[in-house]
Order: sequence, then structure tokens, then C-alpha cells
Amino acid sequence: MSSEEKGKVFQWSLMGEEDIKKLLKNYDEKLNHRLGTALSRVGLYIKREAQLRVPVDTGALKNSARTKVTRRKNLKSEVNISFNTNYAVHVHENIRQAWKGRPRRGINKAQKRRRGTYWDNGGPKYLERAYRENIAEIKRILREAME
Amino acid sequence: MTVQNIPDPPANIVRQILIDASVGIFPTGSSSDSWPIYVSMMPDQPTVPDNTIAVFDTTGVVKDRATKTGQYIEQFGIQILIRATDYPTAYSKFKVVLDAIDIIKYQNKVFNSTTYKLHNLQRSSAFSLGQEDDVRRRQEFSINALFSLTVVPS
Repeated sequence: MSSEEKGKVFQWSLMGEEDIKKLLKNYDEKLNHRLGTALSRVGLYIKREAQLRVPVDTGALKNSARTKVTRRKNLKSEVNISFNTNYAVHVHENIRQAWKGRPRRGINKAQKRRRGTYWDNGGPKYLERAYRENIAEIKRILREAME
Repeated sequence: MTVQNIPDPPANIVRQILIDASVGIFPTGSSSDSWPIYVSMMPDQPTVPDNTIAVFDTTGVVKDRATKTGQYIEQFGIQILIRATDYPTAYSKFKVVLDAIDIIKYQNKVFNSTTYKLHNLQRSSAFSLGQEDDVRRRQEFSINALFSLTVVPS
């Protein structure tokens, strides 16, 4: 910078500033909309993967899975995947899997002996594993939906 | 994709960290043990005290990559279960465990004559599991975390 330029205040204006602002606003809205769709797809995918990992006896836990997308501005949308039974947390965290493989005791609602064994076709950490084991696929879904 | 191999189970390393921080002791099988720390199991025999900690390996995530070697670093999943006779005892031990694992960062730890660099331990959740359905009504707390470490070349 030459000595003449020192101390000068540069002022400039942009022609069509309002148009650019409008374009950026529209772009933001489109991006937000796409993010909402992407999160919805990811949520449903994780929910499905989690349902495949849930131990099933009556099916109450498996059927209690829910996905909820909360849409917010400025790319702050989020998706929540939940299992809504009283014992969902306990089954999720019960990594010891006591009684695994033992025949189920008691009778079911139809007053018949319960079938199968404890922890049949499922295991603990069903929601966590659904996410952690499928990170590559989740990224792919997000990328495709955002394109 | 090459992932760095760890010769020891991460749960064993976490147990050693907790023992070094005086959170508990190595289990001797005696009922007088004060907070024995088990790995991959929480036994229920009469000789095992009610106040017990157990560390389990869970599903990890491969997401970091070392720029020097190009190897991917796995973040190992761990779960720490705390069991005690009553809620205040379980809660206070839960806080002690949290304090011990929250300070793990860039520490070196020697385990089984291998030196590990502990990068971080990122807690994903920590909460009460409530009472056991056993007649003893013991309280349980659970801590879940992702644990990242690398082997320091000798």
C-alpha cells in the first residue's frame, strides 16, 4: 500500500444488493427444507435399523419406536428417534443380558405359555448400534438428500 | 481402510484407569472387597459385594484418521455400570467415576507393557437405571462413552 492510500476510508456499494439478499434468503429456505427431508429419511432409517435389533417378546417395545423431526431455521433442525415404553432404557442398557437363551417363563395375554427364549433375535444397545454400525449409510442418505 | 489395532481390550484399560484413580480395586473374589471393578460381567454370587462397578465394551465408531500414518482410529464404545445398595451411595460413586474419566486427555498409560496415549473419553450419556427387580432393590447407574486411544511406538 502506497503512502497516499494510507488513512483512506474505502466506501463501496453493490448494485443489486437487495436481489442478492433475496436470493440468499431463498437459498437458505431451500437448504432448510432439504435438511428437514434429509433428517426425516435418516430418522426413519435409524428407526428401522433399531427395530431390527430390538429383542421381541410381545412386540410392544419394537412398536413403540417413534421418529420426530423438529424443523428450525438456520440449519438447526433435528431428528429424535425414541422408544416409548417404561422398560426401553432398561433393555437398552442391560448389556449383561442375564437369562439370555433361557426359555421365557409365564403366560402371555392369550393365556398361553410364552414362546422362545429371553433376548430372542435382539440385544441391548439396539438404538446406539443402529446408529454406530450404519454411519456410512447415514452419511450417504444425508448427502443424497442435500444434493 | 486400515484401522489401528489395540492389543488389549479397551474395557481392561478403562478398569486400570479407574483403579489408578482409586475409584475401586481389582476383584479378589472376597465379599469384603471395597468396590471391585469387573470387566465384561457383573457377577451376582454371595461372595460378590453389592457395591460393584463393571466395565463393558460396546460398539465403537471409526471416524478419526491419523495424518502421519493414514490409519483410521477407532473410538471404542464403553459402558460403566455402578451398582450399590442404596441411591446416595450409588450416586456418590457415580460422580467419583465421572470425575475420574473426565480428566483423561493426552495422558500416557502403561498397560500390559504397552504404552497407550489416551486421546479423550467422550461421554455420550450418564444416568440412573433405577432399582433392580431383585428383592435386594439395589440401585444402578450407567455411563456410556466413546474412548479414543493409540499405541505409542516403543
